[in-house]
Amino acid sequence: MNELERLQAAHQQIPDPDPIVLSAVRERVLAADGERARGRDRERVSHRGRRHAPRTARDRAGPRTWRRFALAGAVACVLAGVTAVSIDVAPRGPGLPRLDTVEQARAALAPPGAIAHYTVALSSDANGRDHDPRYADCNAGPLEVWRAASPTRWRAVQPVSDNPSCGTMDLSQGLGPVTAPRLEVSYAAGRTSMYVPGRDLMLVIDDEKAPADGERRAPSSAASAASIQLFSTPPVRKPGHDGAEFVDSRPPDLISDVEQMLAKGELRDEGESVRDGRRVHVLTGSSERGFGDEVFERTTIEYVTDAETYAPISAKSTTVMAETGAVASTSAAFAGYERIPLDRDGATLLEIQPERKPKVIEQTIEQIKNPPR
Amino acid sequence: MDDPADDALLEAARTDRSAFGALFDRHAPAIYRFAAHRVGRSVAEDVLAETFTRAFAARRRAYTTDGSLRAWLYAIASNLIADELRRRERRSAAEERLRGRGETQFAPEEGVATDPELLAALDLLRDEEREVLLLFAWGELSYAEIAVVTGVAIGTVRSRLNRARRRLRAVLDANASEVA
Repeated sequence: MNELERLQAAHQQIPDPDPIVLSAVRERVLAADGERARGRDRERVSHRGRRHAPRTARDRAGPRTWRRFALAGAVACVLAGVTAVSIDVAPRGPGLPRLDTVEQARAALAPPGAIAHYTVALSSDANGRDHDPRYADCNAGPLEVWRAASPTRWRAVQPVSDNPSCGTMDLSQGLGPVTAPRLEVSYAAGRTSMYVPGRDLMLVIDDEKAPADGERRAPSSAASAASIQLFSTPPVRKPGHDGAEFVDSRPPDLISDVEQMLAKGELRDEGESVRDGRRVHVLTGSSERGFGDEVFERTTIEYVTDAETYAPISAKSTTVMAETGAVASTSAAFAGYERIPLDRDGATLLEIQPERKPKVIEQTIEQIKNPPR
Repeated sequence: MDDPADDALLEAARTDRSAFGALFDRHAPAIYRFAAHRVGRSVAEDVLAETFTRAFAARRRAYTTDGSLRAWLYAIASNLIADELRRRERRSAAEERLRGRGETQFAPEEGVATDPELLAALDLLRDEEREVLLLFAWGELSYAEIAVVTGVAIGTVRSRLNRARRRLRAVLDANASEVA
């Protein structure tokens, strides 16, 4: 028997905990609203402090029945007082449940085991484009998003103006401008579905190269195409490298940018402040695009979350073109943020539920980029 | 059907206490046994209660990555165990002057049948090496989880574990030679 096996054999001799004690501890832990208790107890610690610290083995050498009674008292003390001694509940280290602002902000946008639900009103000012009267009323309402992570799945509902200039589906194979009250888009497992209620039409873009989490703007991805159409309102059409019409990638997909920068640690916590009477955390970051040593554009992003819940409040991206000095910005104002359990019912929120069985058109990303003439 | 993952339970526990109860049921026995071997059964009960009380208090703000909830719980428990051992050490220092050597790092009383020679040998290891070794052997944590608990790189975990095993083996072999 080597030293490791001997250690493990010794550990096998440790009996399981007494089920009665285990049950009592469980009940008392769950009966506590721990966070409230901690808040209350901070005020008490200076008066009580050490007296309620866990006792030593020598202190508790009495009969077992007494110890059980004492345990109940100790647990009560834990709930009522001792937690105040434990100031830092989150041990630090790589991969720990991290409580820093950046990670909390990221978790709020993509909570594990839950769906992030919010509305976001997007606006942009790209060299005066938004001031074009043809597009003045394109933003008929905020985008409503349900998003789950690991793996990435989301559904978004965009209210659509009846202004024909605001159409988006037309670049998806000449389907004509959208005149329905809303457009729904969902993404899961590399498939992006677009649905227009009232048209009984579902466009599914299948892209086997669909990006992984946090990279929805990857080139040639179906999700990118969808998110650009979603977030770039109105869509911008211009010839691509091959001369085919496609959407421009600017203004940027702001939410994806924020998510990616949070995931990569590229947004830094600027600390807590108050905006519009609300305590917030402000995170900022910047990025550059260019080729070799030449920088084409610099983008700065400011992301603001609630100070307590880390719910998204606003985001703004400002891009300055190095050559011309032209400035383009995109702003997002979040509202109604909530987390929904990712159970069977919750999962249906991530999928488009057509009113009637729609005609389904499936296409690849290449067909989208190079539509038949 | 598979049981929900820790991450999913922790997320659900933000609003549902029963989900946290499921986490307790899943991890409490192992945490208790780990603590009992270090500080004895009665203190282990307090360590267990305090560990989950802290985790419960932080459940709305905490989240885990890569399934590290277990590591988080062990990290909290390890901190509590270290606090307890430091208290004992301070007390032992005073007692030592009166009656020789004080308590060891391992004093599991109340019927915890262990291997005294092994515990004495563990007592001779460096703290950081012993911590890694016991998290590996008793906690059955992976290298990555131990890295989370101890806050060091995985490579450091490997090297500490290797050194701890070599030292422990050397002490045990020396003891065996003396007996022979």
